[in-house]
Amino acid sequence: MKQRIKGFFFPSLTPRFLIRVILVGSLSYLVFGHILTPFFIRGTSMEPTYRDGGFNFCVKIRYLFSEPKRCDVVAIRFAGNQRMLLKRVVALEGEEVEFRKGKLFINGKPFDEPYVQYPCDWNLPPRRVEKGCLYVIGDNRSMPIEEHLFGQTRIERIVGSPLW
Amino acid sequence: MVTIRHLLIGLIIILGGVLSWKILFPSEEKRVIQRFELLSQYTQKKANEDILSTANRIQNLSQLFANPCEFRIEGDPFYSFSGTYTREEIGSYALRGRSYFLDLSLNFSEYKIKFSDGETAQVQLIGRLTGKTTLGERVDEVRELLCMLKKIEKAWLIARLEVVEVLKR
Repeated sequence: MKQRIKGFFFPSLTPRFLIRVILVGSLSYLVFGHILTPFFIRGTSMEPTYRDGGFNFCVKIRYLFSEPKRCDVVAIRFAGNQRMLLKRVVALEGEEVEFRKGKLFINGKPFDEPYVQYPCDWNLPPRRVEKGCLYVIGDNRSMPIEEHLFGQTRIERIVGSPLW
Repeated sequence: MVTIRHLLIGLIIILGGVLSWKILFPSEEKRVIQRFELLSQYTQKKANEDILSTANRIQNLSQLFANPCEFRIEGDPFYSFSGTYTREEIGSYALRGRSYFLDLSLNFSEYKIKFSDGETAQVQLIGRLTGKTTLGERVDEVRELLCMLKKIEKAWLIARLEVVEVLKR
């Protein structure tokens, strides 16, 4: 038993062991570096859906063969890949977005958003989403509109979506 | 006779030489990154900073910019700062900006540097500003930046700074 424990923690450096280490390392790099990237949530803009300090994985292959849809929560990249914004898609290209007394209007029609739990009093004149862009907003709209980072972004900037 | 000991000593000397060379003669890319590291260092503010230290930091900070320097910070919910400014103006704006904070830190990462010629560098990077305002509010903001640096008298100076609008309202 003692020998087995010792063998587990201090294995002998055989070629077979080295191959196993290289395989596990490469697979971890591929999975956690390019397919399921772990990330921590900083900020309250997606509350209560995603809490400040939460942990999740970004599924980077989610939009490999499809486009993001309305109500999808997406990760939007900055320069590089380490920092991302987590927002919800509310409008697609060509659509018109507007806020009246906290209510979201898409193409002039009120849009029901069950994920918005906090009171909102935003007013935003109508604007059309440009070609190749999506309109994204956080779920937490309890702060003044000036303090919330939202708007349209290029589809190329969307790198994936959270795993849960 | 050459022993393993001699080989090891030789290897250490070579490594030391390479390291010294890298430190003493940094590449142009490293020199550009150093400018942002200095900008981060001079922007940083700790609680109870004395006036002399503030003056010194502001003086050093303004020297990192070309005279004049163009700023383009538009469509940002928190800051709007566009135009061409002299070093003195940059210094006074920086002084005013820092006065809103009790503690402040600005960090840069994810550098993508392109040299269009030997005298100009385009840098795409991320800036993260964290701190506590005098009103007690915590600030943690991340922005993508696009900068142009020019080599003037052997020093890389920030000639243009733009905040990239990742989300456009």
